Amino acid sequence: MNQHDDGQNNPTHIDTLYAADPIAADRQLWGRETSALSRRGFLKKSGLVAMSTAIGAAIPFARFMPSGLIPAAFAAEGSSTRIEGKEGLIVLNERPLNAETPAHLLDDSVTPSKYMFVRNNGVPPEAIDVDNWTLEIAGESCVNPLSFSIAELKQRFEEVTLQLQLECGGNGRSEFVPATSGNQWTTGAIGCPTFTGVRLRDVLNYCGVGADAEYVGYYGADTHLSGDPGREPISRGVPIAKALERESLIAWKMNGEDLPLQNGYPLRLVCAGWPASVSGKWLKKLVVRNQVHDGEKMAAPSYSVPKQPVAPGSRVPNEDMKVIESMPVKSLITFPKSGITHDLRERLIVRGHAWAGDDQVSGVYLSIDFGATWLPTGVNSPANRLAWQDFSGWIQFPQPGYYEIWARAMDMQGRSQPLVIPGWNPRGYLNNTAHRIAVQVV
Amino acid sequence: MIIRKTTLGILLSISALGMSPGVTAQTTDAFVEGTGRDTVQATCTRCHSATLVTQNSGSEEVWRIRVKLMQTAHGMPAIDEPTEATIVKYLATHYGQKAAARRAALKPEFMPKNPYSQEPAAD
Repeated sequence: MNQHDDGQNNPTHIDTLYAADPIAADRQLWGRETSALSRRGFLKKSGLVAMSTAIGAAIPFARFMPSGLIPAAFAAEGSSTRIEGKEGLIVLNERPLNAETPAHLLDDSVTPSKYMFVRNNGVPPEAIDVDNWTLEIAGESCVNPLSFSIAELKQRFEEVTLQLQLECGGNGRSEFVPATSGNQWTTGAIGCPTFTGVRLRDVLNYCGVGADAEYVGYYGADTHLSGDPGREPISRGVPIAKALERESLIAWKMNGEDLPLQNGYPLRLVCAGWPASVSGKWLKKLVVRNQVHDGEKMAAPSYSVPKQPVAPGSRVPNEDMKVIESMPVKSLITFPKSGITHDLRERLIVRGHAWAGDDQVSGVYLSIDFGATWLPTGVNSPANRLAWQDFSGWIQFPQPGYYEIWARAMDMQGRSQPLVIPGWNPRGYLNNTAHRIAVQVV
Repeated sequence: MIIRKTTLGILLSISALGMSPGVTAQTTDAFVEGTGRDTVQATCTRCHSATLVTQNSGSEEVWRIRVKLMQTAHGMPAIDEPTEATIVKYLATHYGQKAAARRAALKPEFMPKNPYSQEPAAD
């Protein structure tokens, strides 16, 4: 859905309704209810008639129409992409699917699955047979290569539920100048749902990790965009130390339910705090390597930044690049929504989340005077290591006028967010500039 | 409500080639009009959607690098020099480099109602 500027277009436009709440729009316009069982919208008889009347034709396959979907016949140009199980996301790219979440939809402490962003590199698998899904553990440094069904994983290892933040390495890319190639993420390639699964280290240790183990790489069931079955769309991973952390999971649930298809159903890796591309989706195989994994998009310039700071626009040879590990400290204002008009007499509550890659957040500060002065906020402890932290504060504005509210988080080592765009890099990663929203006080 | 009366065929046009399962999109002409548009549409949307291109920007040189990279690294069939020149020219003309700014103003959709009259946004 490209439409997120509600109120700026024709207010009666069908897209506006769908942009606000596709499920409610379905119900309002067509009486179409979302079935949790089938994960498809189905039309009550009256709704089916209404929809058929509106387009002047019968809809024989109405039962197959996913919920929250604007029928293409009604859709305005370029604004019709609907993702099953998702709501309100802004689609940057349909093939491969890349969709981010507007900041105000990330207000929940635990990100609802429907608001979890999507970053696909290839085409997700179809016709998934979850009962016969296997995860293979192999690689030069795996002592006893084994295969597990999902049922075996559940049976053999301790089940763990953790709240874990995943952020795309390219989140914020759109603000780099000169522009860098790739999906032009603004602020929404971040989310922090809960994941349920087993610890990666329990599974790896069960198979035996060789003393020379260096890296764990993944392979998924997604296919390359070119259709070439010999090519992997992406096959990344993490150094063995990160893999063996107690928060690194092989997960089958998000927020207590099956993973959404676009987020890796039925099985994925979750190694939080690093570029989310290390957390492979549709997980089929893990390899314990005796070298840095050399899968697709492991090598520079993918998910890599210059070893030394470079001037904007520099052509940096691959040998002068290094792979990104922990993501930097960052925060997001999720309430209020940018663009509100606020009554001078009222305090304005401001809240959001902050995270710091492998580290923890020590404080979040707000400024309403372009960084001249800063107000501390209350920051909650994370639910567990590598979960984001909620912050909340309030502002009493001194006089009417235009204000920007800037949020700046600091990690435990005193590292903070830059107020301008941080170091330019050829692929536009790691933009952790302070988030800002605009408010007109009257 | 804006409703286009079209045929059932369009209504049920699910899944363009390679579209993710569970995703429905109407394939629209996302590229702006201009010389070379049809060549770009035909060449650049075989594997990925047009929006992957149109959300990006760059100089002629940058676009040439990207088009070459598609051929050398991402499985795009090789194209001849005149075709490549047409594509690069179109992209650099219509999706040119952004103006420099250490940090740009907030986008219009994030702005509150302004009590004053205002110059229209540059883009």
